[in-house]
Amino acid sequence: MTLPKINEYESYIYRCIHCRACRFCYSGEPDRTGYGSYTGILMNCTAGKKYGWESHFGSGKVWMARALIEGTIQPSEEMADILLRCPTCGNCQVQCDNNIPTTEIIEAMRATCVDAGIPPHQKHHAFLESIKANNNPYQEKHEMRTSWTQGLKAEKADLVYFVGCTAAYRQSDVARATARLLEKLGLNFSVLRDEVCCGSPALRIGQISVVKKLIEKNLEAVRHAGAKKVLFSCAGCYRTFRVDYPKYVGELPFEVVHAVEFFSDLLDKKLLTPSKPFSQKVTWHDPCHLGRHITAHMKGRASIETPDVKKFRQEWFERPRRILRSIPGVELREMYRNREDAWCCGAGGGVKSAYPDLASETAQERIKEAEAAGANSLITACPFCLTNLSEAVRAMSSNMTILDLFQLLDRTI
Amino acid sequence: MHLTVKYGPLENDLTLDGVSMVEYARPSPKVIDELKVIVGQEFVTTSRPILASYVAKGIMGLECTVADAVVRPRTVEEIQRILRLAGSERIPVTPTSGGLSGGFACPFVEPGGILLDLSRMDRILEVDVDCRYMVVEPGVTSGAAWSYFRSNYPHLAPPIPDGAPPAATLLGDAIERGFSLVTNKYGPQADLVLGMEVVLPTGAIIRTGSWALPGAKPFYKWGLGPDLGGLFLGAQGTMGVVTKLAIKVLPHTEHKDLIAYGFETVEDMVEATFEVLKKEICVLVQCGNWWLVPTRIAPEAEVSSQKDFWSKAGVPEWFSNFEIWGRDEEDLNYQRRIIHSVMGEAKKRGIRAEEWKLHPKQKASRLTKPNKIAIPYALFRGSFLFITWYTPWKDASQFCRIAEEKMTSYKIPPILWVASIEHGREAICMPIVCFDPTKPDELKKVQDFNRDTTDVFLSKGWLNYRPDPKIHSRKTFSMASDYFDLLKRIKSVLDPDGIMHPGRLTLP
Repeated sequence: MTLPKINEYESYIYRCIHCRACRFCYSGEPDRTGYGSYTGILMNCTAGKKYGWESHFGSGKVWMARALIEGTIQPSEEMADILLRCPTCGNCQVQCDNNIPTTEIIEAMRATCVDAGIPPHQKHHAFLESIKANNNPYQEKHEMRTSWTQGLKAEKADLVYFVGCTAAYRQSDVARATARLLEKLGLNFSVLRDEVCCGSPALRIGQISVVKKLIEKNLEAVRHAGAKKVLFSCAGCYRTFRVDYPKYVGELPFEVVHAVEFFSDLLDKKLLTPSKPFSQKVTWHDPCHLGRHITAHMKGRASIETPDVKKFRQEWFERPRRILRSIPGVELREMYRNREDAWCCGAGGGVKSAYPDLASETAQERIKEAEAAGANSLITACPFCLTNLSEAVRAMSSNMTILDLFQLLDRTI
Repeated sequence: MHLTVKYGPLENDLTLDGVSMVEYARPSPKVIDELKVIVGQEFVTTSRPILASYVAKGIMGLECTVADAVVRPRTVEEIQRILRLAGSERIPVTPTSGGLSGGFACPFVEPGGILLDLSRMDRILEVDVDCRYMVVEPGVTSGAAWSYFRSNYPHLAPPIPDGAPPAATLLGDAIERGFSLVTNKYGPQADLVLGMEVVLPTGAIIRTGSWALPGAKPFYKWGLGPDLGGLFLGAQGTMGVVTKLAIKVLPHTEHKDLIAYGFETVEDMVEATFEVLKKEICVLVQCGNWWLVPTRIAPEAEVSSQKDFWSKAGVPEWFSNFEIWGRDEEDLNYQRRIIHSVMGEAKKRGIRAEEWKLHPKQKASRLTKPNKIAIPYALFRGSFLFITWYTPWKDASQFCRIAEEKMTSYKIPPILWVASIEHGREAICMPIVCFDPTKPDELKKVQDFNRDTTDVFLSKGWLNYRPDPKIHSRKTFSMASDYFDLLKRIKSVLDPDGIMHPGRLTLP
C-alpha cells in the first residue's frame, strides 16, 4: 500500500512553465469586482503570502519536485519544512491551466521525504504516535470516542454516521447537532462504535504507512454495522473516504455522503424545512476538503472540464448556500473569495499543529474578509475549519459568530 | 570557490580576440551574513530546495543556472548596498522582478551568484492622470495593476503585457521591450516607458528621461542630452537594477470587439491584414495558423493534430484577429466597417478571405486582460518555447514559410503566431515549439532547430527578441562585432566588476 511516488507525476511536473498564475484566485477573471480591497485578481496562496519565497508557492514546489526527480536536490529536513508549511488547500491546482495536480504532487513529495527517513515534525510525531496508540490524533483515549453519544442507540442501520476525531473529541457539539438532526428527521441511523481516525492527518503529511491499519479498521467497522451509506459531517474524513480510500482498496462497498449533500437533498425533496429564524448576516466558508478537493477530484486528469463535471461543480458549491438561504432570517453575504477560489482557513495539511502562526494568520485573514462582506456569522461544514476560525475570532477579539452548518440547522429545525 | 568564465560572441570558441575573462566568486558565509545585515535575516537564503524553486526552463529559454543565494530586498538603499558588496567580492547578481513576463530571469553563468528577487517591491507609487503615467516598483504584477485601475481609474488602462499570465510584471515586460495589450497601436512596451530609476552596479542611482533632472516629473521620455534609457531596455539585467518605472497609462473603454478573418495561405493573410493595419485603427492584431487552436487543448484529445477535424469545425488554415477599442458603439461600428470593407476589397483582388465568426467565449478569452491564453500550450507536448523574431511586416509570410518548412523537417508541429507592431510597421513572428521536456533527444532537437533557424533568420536581417545567450546572442553579435565591442565598453563603465547578470547577453 503506497501512494504514487513523485516520479509517477513526472509528466505533470514537467508541464509547469512557471507562469505563477497558481498563486492567485480568479486568475483568469481580472475584471471580477468585489468590495473594498477584495476585487480583481488576488493573492490566494496562504503559505506564499506569508513567507514570500518562490518555494512556498505551488509553482515553486513543482520546480522543487523537478529538481528532486533530476537528483539536483535530495529529500532533507529543510525540504520537508518547506513542504509542510502549506495547508494543501488546492488553490494552486484549480488555478492551473495546465492541469497540474499540485496537491497530489506536494503530498507525494512529503511521502518521498518520509521514505527517505526524514523524521516528522515534532508536533506531527506526537499526533502520529497518538493515532497509532489511541486511534485519534488528540492524545485521547479510544474508549472516549463515543462519549458524546449519550442516549443514542447503537443498532445496525443502513445509514451510519462517521463522526471523525475532531467532532468526537474537540467539537462534540457538531456531532450532537448532526445526530439530533437525523433524529428530528426520523431517520434510522447508527454511529460506528469501532470507528477510528480516517487517516487524513497522516495522509496529508505523507505518512502513508500509518494509514493502512486505519483503513482496514474503518472498513471493517462499516461492514460490521451493515451500512449501505456512510454520512460525514467532517470535510476531511469525507475527502479521505471519497478520494483517498479508493486509491488503496478500490471502489468502496458503500456510498459516502457528506452531510451538506445529504441535507441539501432532503431540503430539495422538502423533507427538511428550517422554521426557526436565524436573523443574521451570514457568510459561507467553503472548506477546502469539501470544496475544491472534491471538484478537482471529479475533474480528474482531463484538461477540459466536461459539461457534466461543470454542472456537478456548480451544483456542489451551491448546496450549502441553498441550505443557508432556506433558513428564515438568514441574509447570505458572499465573501469575495468563494467556491473554488475560496481563501483557506489555514488549518489543513498538518499546518495547525506544526505551524500555528501560519494557521492563525490565515484564519484571521478569512475573518477579516467575512467582516468586510458585512457578515456577523460565518458558517462552515468542517470541524477543523470551525476550530481554527473560532480561535482566530478569539485572537482578534472579533464579534463574528462561528458555527458549523449542522449546529445552525439543528437550531432552526 | 572561484570559477573563471570566458565570454565572447563566437558559438564554439569563446576565446576570440578581445574577449573578457572574468573570475567570479560564490557568496561566502561572511557575505551571506553581510547580506542578512542589509535586508534582514529572513530575506536571505542559501537553502538548496528554495534555490531550486526559482529555476525556470521553458517559454523563452531552456538553460539556466541555480543561484547560490536568493535575496529579497525591499528598498533601493538595500539594493545599493547589495550591489556594492557583490562588486567588492565579484559575485554575479541577477535581478528578477518577481513575475515571469513570458520568459525567465535566472542566472546564466556558473557560479550562479545572487538572485535578486524584487517581488517585495510591489507598490504602485504614483498615477498622474494629467500626464497619464504611472510609477511602479519592479514587483507590481499585471493582475494587481489591472485591478487597481479598474477600481480607481476605470477610464485608464495600465499597459500590461498581453497573453502573459497575471503574475507577469509591468516593469519586467517593459524593460524587456515586450508585447503589450496595445502593441499594435503604441509599439513595443518599451516605447511607453517615460523614465526609469536604475541602481548601477557601483551603487550609484540614475534616472532617465525628464526624470533625470532633479525635481522633474517623468513626463517626457527623452532626457538631458542623449538619453541613457535605451541602455537598460533589452539589457536583461546586465547593466543595472531598474528599481522604478514610469510608464504611460492609456485610455480605456468598455467598447471592445474582436473581428477575425480566415485565409487559405499565409501570403493572403499577411497581405490582406496589412491593408487593415495601414488604416491604423486596431489596438492589437494577432495572426497565426490553425495549429494555434488545438494545441491549447490537450494531447488526450486525439483530434488535436487532425487538421481536417478543425477545418470542419470552422478553424481557418490561417487567420487574423483584429482587436478594436472604440470611444462608443458608433466608433466601434466605424472600425468594424473599415475592417470588413478592406477585406471586401481584398477579396475583389483575388485574396481568399472569409470572416471567421468567433464564439462569444472565444472573443471573451482574447478580450480579457490579463489572460492566461498562452499558458495551456504545455498541455500539448509537455512544454514549449516561444522563439520570437522581429521582421518587417511584409516579411512575415516568408518567415512563416521558412519556419513551417524547418519545423516540419525537425518533426516539430508547425505552430506559428504573428502579431503586428505599430500598425504593421514591424511584425513579431513566433514559432511556438512544443516538445516533451522529459526526453533529452527532444530538447536537443529543439535547440538544433533554434540554431538552424537563427542562421537563416539573421541572414535575412531579422532580429531575435530576448536572445538566448548560447544561440541567438553569440551569432547576432558575431555579425555585429563593432556594436558588440562598444556595448562591452559601455558595460565596463557601468559595471566595472562585471557582476550584472553575466553571460546573459554574451557580455561579461
